[in-house]
Amino acid sequence: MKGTNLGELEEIVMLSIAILYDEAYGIAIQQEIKKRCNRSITISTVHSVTSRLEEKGFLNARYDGATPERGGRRKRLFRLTKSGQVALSSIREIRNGMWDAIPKLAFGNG
Amino acid sequence: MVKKPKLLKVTDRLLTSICKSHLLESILGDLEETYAANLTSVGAFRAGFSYFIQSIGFLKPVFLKKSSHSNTKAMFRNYFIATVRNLQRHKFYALINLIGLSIGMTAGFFILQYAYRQLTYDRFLENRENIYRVQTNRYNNGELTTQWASGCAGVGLHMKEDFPEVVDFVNLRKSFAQISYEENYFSVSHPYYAGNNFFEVFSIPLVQGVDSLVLKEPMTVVLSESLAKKIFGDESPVGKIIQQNDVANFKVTGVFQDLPERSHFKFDLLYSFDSYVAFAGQEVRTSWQWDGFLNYVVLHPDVDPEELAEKFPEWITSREGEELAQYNAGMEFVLQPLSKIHLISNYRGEIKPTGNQTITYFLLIIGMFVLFIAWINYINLTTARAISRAKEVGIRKVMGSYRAQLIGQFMFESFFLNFVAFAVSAILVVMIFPIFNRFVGNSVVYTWPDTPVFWFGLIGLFIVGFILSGFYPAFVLSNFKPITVLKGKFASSTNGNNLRKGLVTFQFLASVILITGTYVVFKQMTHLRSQDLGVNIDQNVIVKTPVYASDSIMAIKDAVFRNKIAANSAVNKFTASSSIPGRNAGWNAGGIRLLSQTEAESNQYRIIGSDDDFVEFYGLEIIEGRNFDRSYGNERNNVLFNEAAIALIGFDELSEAINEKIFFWGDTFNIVGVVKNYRQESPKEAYDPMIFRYFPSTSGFYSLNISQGNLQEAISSIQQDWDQAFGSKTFDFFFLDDYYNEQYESEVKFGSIFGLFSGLAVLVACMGLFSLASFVTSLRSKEVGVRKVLGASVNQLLLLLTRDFIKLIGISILISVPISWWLMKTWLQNFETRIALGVELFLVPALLIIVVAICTVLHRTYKTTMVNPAETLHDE
Repeated sequence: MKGTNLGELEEIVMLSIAILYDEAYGIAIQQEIKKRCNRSITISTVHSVTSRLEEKGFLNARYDGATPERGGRRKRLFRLTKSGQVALSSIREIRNGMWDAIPKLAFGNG
Repeated sequence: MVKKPKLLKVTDRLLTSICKSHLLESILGDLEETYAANLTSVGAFRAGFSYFIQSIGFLKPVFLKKSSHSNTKAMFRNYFIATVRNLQRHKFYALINLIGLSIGMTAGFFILQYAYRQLTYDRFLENRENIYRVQTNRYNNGELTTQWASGCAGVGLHMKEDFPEVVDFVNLRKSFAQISYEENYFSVSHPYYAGNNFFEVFSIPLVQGVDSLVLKEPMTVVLSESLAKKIFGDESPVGKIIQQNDVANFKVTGVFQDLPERSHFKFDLLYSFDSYVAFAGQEVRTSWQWDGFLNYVVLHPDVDPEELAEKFPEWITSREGEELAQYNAGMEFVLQPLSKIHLISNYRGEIKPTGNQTITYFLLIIGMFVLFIAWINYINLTTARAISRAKEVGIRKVMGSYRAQLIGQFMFESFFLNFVAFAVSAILVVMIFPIFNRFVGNSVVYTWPDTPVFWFGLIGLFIVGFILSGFYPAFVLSNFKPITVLKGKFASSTNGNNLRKGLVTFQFLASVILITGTYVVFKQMTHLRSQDLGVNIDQNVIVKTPVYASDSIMAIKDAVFRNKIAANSAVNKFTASSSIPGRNAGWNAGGIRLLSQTEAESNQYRIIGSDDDFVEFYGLEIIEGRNFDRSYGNERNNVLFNEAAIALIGFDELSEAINEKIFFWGDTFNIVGVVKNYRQESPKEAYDPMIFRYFPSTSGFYSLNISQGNLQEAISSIQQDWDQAFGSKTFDFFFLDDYYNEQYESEVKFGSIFGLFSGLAVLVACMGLFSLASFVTSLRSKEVGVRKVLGASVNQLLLLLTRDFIKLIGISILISVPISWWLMKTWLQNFETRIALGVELFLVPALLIIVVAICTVLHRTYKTTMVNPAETLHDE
């Protein structure tokens, strides 16, 4: 079974989904990442990450919001599940804890 | 909605068919949205391109549909199990197939790599498509007299002057000089004088020195890397001075990389051609009547060599016509493409022994035969045994197999067997490779074929073979109608019976041709060897004479050596001559005629210079007149002719020739005797017209006849004499019988290879026949039982079961005769003395094949006929 650990890209994708709240679908996620991290990732990468997250149970998906430029196709909109939220916040806590544990001297800025 | 190009719609359709359906809408939607955005920002083409690239990104397992009706992995697993079980159940046939295929592939590999080597000489030379060697043919009185690889001196230079098509030329001339460095003598096997642009025309890399400069000056020399190492060790050779024949100083200007084995070139030392001009005069650049010069021309890339060659006859007339007409002589130039020289050229003055195109193609055909025979075995055995698989096919079809799936299954089986055979033969190849190459290779350096082309070609060939041999059986097997098969009505496989018969016929056709070939080659070789050579070559040691700058020094040293040898008890007889049996006379002189004849009647002769012991030493027979005899004095103006020369100069009776005067390059000579024709070169060649001149101390070869007994002692005692007479000059000796027999070496090798692979072909074919016979017989075991009960005798039954096979073999023998007759006639054209293609040559192999085939079949059928009918019939 795949662990519930989150990869860095997975974390970013989940954060983007959280930010986009009700408008999180493939391209929106791709653009959000581009905007915030200045990272270009291909659309298929976004899709494969979201599929993986869905498998881990961190995302829910539903189809809605067809537009003409999509050829009348609906968007697949994602939302974090409860366990997704827990996973994200636990990462944050771990990180915060680690940041706090760094002695001030280590960064040498006094 | 956005309009998309057609190609992208195809992409969509592809994605639709392979992507998980619940993701599909969003995948296509996202792709299209991106496309729409790109369309406005970067334009249609780049948007389309990126659409295409991005859709490729979706070809990942995450997105792909799990196939619902077939599970690929499980399918292959099932194929594998079915294959292994089937092979286990029929171990005997599986083994026959496996051994046959392995032998076929191994044999195929060896032959192919051998042929490949022969066909890819000189590939390291750049610009080789545009470089040609000018080969010279000389005619006398309208007859072709001499074909030179190294032709007349001036042809390259004059071609460049007269034809704009010729961009450049290089000339080469063999040197016979000895070299020394600081009083140490070194034997050099292939020293040549080479034109100053040699390294510019031929892309032979220089380790030291500059292409355009190394041979520019007279008295400069370039060494091969290994020779440089031998002479100078670790010192830098450039700038050092080496001596030629103790007198001429040459400055080393460069070192070239040792040449690869697969080249018609073989040099270890190249002097600048200008040095040769300095010795021999400007004539060596321009003469049309001086042969022995290799000329290479570089043509302009757009020039058609054939068109250029058409202009030669006219050009020769305009340049040299008058001179030639005077002697009633003719010349002809042939352009030999550089990369084909090794295959097509075998003329006087080659740099090293060349290959043979006919033989290479013959071997290639043999290799393919063995391979095909093995594949045919596979086809025959598999289709013949189809009946034993028929029920399996029926059940599979009933259970819902598609035809395509069944074909896939049987192809998999064929692939599996081929693959195992391939693995086995790979092991065999690795094991046998060194042995095989010691057997065929004429050098120590023999490595694996180094080009990917060869390996890809080989793998390609095996794949094609696998498909060809796998597809037909798969097709036949998958074709059964389940209803017929499962009802049990399916009695025997008549399907493809004719094809199978055809294939068996082909196998035996190939086998008979190969056996006949082997037999003819064997007979021809025996014939050649049993020829009376007319010359004694046994127990002779040959030593190359030393080279001295002046004839007078040589004469003094020579006399010392002769005295020593005369006192040496190990040596029975002694002679010195310019050439020895087994070697072409080397000296080829034209313009020779009787004093009473006109210049137009003059001819070319091979000349050998020798002392007066030569005739007796080699057991030659004087059939008219007398031998040379130094006690007569003035022998220098006398010559001996051989019979062929007497005929050429125009005497009907030998006795007429005695005391006739001939004109030879400005001097007059007296014919004092006639030597019976003997084989100066091998019996492969015709008798050449030869003239013997008297030179009491000639440079060339000392022949020493030694007693049976301790060779080593004899050689070392000769070497002691040598050292006392010639000091540190190189003592370079060999045994004449070995040397003479080297001429047959390629034929002997060809014979052995031919024999070996023919044997393999017959073995594989017989294995096939054996298993086919045993299978067909086993099908008929009930029939045999019934016939036996009804009173048939064993003999009748044997005839019944064997008849079909014998008929096929008879047919293949009949077809083989004209084919092998034609092939062997072609091969025999290589020989001047050859056997007649008699009936016996075809009869013996045919009988052999018939006997072998009958034994193969009988062994199996006899067993079947001896079985008690009760046993075969009791379960009905």
